[in-house]
Amino acid sequence: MLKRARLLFLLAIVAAPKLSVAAEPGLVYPLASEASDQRRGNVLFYNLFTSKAANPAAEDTRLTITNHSETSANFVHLFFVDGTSGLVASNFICLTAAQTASFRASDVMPDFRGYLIAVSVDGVVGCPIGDTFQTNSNRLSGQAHVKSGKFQGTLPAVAAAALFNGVQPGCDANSVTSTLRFNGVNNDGYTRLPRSLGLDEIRSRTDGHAVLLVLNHIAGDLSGGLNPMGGVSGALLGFTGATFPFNFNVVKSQKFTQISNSFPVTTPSFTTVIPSGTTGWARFANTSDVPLLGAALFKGAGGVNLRSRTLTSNGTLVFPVESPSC
Amino acid sequence: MRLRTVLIAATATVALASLAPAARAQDPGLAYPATSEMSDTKLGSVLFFNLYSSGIDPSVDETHFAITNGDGTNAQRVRIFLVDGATGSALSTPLCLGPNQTFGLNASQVDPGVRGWIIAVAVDVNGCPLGTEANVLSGLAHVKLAEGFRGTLPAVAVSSLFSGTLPGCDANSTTAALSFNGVSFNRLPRLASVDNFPSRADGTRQLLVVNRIAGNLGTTTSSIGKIVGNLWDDAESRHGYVMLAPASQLVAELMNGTPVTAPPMETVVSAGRTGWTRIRIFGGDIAHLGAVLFTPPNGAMNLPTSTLSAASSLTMPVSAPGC
Repeated sequence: MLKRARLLFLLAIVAAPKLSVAAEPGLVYPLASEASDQRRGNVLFYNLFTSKAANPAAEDTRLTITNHSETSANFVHLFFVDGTSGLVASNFICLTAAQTASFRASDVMPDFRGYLIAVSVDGVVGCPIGDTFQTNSNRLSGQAHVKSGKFQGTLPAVAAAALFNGVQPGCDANSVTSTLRFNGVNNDGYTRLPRSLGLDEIRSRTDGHAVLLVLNHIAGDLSGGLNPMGGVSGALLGFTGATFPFNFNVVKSQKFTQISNSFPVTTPSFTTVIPSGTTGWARFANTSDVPLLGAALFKGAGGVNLRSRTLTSNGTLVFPVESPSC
Repeated sequence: MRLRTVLIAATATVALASLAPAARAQDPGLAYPATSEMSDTKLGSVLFFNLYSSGIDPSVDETHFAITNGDGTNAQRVRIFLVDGATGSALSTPLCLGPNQTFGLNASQVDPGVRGWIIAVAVDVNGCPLGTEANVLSGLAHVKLAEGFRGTLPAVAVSSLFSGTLPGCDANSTTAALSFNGVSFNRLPRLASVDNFPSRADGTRQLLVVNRIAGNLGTTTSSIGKIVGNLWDDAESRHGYVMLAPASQLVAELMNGTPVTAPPMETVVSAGRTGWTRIRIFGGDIAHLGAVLFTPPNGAMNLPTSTLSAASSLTMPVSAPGC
């Protein structure tokens, strides 16, 4: 069982900045644009963190978070989800205007592997907050610099934007929990999340290439635990476009495994579908109508978040309302 | 137009010859709206690969890039332009992908000794840009540089916002305008950022890549000119700067003097500290795309977008892809 640790991150929120308020040149990025790792948002999903306390040089993750508002502080509730158990360790980080911060998984979650969800909250009650002022919209961004043995890469956080102004409707000082709804509904929830994902290219394992796949199930209770992923269906596609379907079941909230002849199971097997000198690709979808996020790390070549092919408006996360401890 | 066109065209023909029976399975879920802004986590009809590089020794400086047709029903014709980042001139080639087909190749095979950026455009039988039905392309580039950086950059996907063939383009057209204005195609970033980078004093390095998306792919693309930006330390102090960038692509390692800040960058982001920066092209409403590579650990990402521009346009030559 993970401990719910707090007060680890107390940054200089008291050091009020004296900043000029310069408007950003350009057109405002629309809130309704779908979740992406190239936008800013009010909820960030970091697809992978991992660390080995005994050997952080070989396995560790540097996680970063940046407040793009030049005028307002940002209070952020962090949820480290253990990819094995789905249990959650929570924390707060408080960023002054235009502040960036980083920390290592080996410091805050040693010997754990999973994913991180960061939610922008109000500074008093801890309710999720949205686009209070137009100039402050889409305020957060982040990255995970992951090192895991022969795999390493940078995975920018996938950002979802709140579609409501101010504090989330229905959440107040009497609330114990709230529900984050990734439904794309104005004045209610957040932008939608992917239902099906694509991994753009897989090179042949026979040629020495290797791909580490990460899939994350985004459903459950951030105050109790995330749900197991359950059934996933998909297909491996050879370089000719021939399709080889697969199904697998995941009893954890995160799938973390190399693509090989034993996973996913296809007929014929992976190295036959993608033989030496060729490439293929893959797609994945949860068999239930819930969000699926993911990433891939390539041996010696970096990493990417998986590409969204379709969306779901059914994503929900129960969210504990707690006053930020900073 | 550069001369190596024939080589990649021949390579693409190999891929075309092996069209496979199509799978008709649809992904479950709601369709991704074309109006959602450009992103490297969606599909599109136009792909931007922010960096390719192929050095003298491909074992230390090479790029493997791939393009995938995510449509299980329809083949796609794609016109690829490899833009030399130094000169702005583009090498052009068609690529024809069967349903669900992916195609990868190394930059050294098609454009050795060149560093730049790539744009891939879904086109019809005449070579005219295609509409929403072609929002099915994706891709990535595995980049390895002689400077010691390596990482994977997913292609930034831009969706068509019209149906059918680009209005005004037909078999008699010699050029077509790709207008990234939110009407024909998604808009592009005007202001972007490198969100967090640690100090060089801690042994880390960052390589910034900025591409100006304007000009004529049949002659030369536009030069950047100047990049203006702000650098923040992790105590939110802001330091403005201007960088000269005389070509269509800037590739520069962030360090003292690049950019020039007061005090110098490695003083602003000193040992044990982190910083971030926000950039735009100087001189008005100008779009750009960019990326940053990190080491150690090795990694790369496209720059997150802060604000958008609806003013970017690229002229592309129209010629039948031959498939």
